[in-house]
Amino acid sequence: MPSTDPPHDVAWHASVVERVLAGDVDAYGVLIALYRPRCLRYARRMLGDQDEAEDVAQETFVRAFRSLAQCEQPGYFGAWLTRILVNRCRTALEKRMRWDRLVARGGSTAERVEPIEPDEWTSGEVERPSLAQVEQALQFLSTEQREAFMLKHVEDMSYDEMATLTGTSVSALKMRVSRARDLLRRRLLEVSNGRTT
Amino acid sequence: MDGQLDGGGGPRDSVPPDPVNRAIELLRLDVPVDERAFDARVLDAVRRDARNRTPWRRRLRQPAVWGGVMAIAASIALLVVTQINSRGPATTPTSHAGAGRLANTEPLITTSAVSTVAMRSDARGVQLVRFRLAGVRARSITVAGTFNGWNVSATPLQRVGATTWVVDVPLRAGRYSYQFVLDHRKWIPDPHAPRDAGDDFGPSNSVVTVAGGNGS
Repeated sequence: MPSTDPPHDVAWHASVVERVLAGDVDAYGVLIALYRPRCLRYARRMLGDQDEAEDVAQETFVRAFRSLAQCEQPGYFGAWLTRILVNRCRTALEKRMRWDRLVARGGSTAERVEPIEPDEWTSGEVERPSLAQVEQALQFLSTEQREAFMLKHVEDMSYDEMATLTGTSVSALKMRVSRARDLLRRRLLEVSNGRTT
Repeated sequence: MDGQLDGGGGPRDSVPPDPVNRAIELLRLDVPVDERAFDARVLDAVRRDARNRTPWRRRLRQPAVWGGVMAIAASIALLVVTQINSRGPATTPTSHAGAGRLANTEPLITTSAVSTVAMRSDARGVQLVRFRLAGVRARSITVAGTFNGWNVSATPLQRVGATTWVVDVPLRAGRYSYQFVLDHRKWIPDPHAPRDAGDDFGPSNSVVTVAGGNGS
């Protein structure tokens, strides 16, 4: 599983989790430090907000600690933590969507976008997108599309792993990733050309 | 469908670079954050959560709690003795000695262990830190800490006597937390080194500070 980051192997994870379960809270700090980058990166990209991302990442670690005894495969703590992280991000977005209609509009826009062909891409004259532009464009994907895109292309998960984690079929996930790529490409080109919708 | 990162997969110059691939590169970057502050904040939240969810009966069964209680009791006793001493010659040697025995119960690990940390510098600013643990019987002893990612196997101590073990570790200036690991399963802090803050529900780590800079 990619969620077990090298060079820390399965046995190492199992030993640290065992230590935490034995009452050594400080040992949990090791896992926090190891998985902080992933949690913050995923939460920030999914939520598009730094403060909210830090809150969700913190909540993820707290919930994981609280439920650590239920982690059936301590050696794969990373995969288990990622599942909690994905669920926390979903919950945060659901809460926000009740209040923020903009996000909901972005999701509905995604369904209307048609794939574009490579020859429609603008040539090298267009500036390369910045991270801020990419993050902004990412927010125009639906939650499901953004989640699938992030897990596949940023967290490097296989479709089988994604299916296990999200409870969604592989074919549906492939469709979401494909549509996410099309929509993201269109948004980035629009931003590069000075057009926004 | 999977989205290759090679710019579309076609011959060079025949297909313009896909901006999505550039986007993926950017999205893979770590999010800037004050790592120490974030980690400390999360660990504090974890501790608060653990504290709030631990029943009092279970808390009272944990040795660390009793260690804390004993430490507080010893401090109070010492304070009382000091106050009595300050009032005049009425204090007896017996009462003072009793307070001393209470104070000595504060360490939570075996009192037979004796360790020291010695250092010497080299020209590159790296210092050799000697971790020494004595008076402990074990088949193997390692030291795990922030300097080796808390790896329980990376830094084994060598036996230099019947119950004396040492290892020299080159460390840059900074503050490092660590514990000894006996037989790959039992973690003990260094009985003769300063401790970090720890908390009420687990043993705190020992701390060694290598002079010349901040952080670890």
